Amino acid sequence: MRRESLWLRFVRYWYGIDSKLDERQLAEVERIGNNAYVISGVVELILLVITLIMALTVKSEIALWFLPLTIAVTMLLMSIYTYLAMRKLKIFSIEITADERPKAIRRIWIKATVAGIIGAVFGTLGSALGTSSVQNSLVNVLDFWPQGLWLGVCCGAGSAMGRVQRLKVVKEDK
Amino acid sequence: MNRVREYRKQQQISQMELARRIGVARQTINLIENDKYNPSLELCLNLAHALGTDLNTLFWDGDEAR
Repeated sequence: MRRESLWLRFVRYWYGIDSKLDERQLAEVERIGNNAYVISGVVELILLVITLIMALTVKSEIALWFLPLTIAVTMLLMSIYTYLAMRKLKIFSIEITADERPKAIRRIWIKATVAGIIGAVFGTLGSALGTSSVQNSLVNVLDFWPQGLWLGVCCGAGSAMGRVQRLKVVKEDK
Repeated sequence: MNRVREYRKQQQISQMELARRIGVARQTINLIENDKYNPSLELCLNLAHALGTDLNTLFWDGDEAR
């Protein structure tokens, strides 16, 4: 297998794919990405024309809200499409043999803990910064640990649940 | 029809094991064995190497080619 480029690693991270992509999977991901790009491009062009017509005929304020809202909906729909298309191709699945299960579960725990710690740090800092900017004064960061803990637990549990759901035990077929 | 499955079973290795040896997904091996995916030359060479054979034996179907 060729060495993975940084860009490809970013693409994998973006789509939430754990393992390296082989040539077939890469071709599939590219095909799905191209489909999503072309469809969203055409839809956004149509939306732009509709917005222009709206701005000229109806109220321009409505048009001002219409375009960003519909673009956001299009992006959401494209995300759902790419997720479902990749799930159908089993690109997200983490395949293991029955005897590898304990090791895989241990790895999931470690990744969930890391995700939880990162979530907790961001949760604490985010809450502190948010409160500080609202009150326009300095605050003690450590006072915001409950918010951090809450976000950390959510991130950790989300990471663990997502990975356990993707775990697939494959029967040996020698 | 290629002979990947035949050679793999001869060597008594699973799809998963073969996939890990050549660094591809198990589904890719499954699709190759079922003639649903045409692998690149590089992957064919890797497969032949992992199964201890050559490209001709693994992929060349003399009868079909004629």
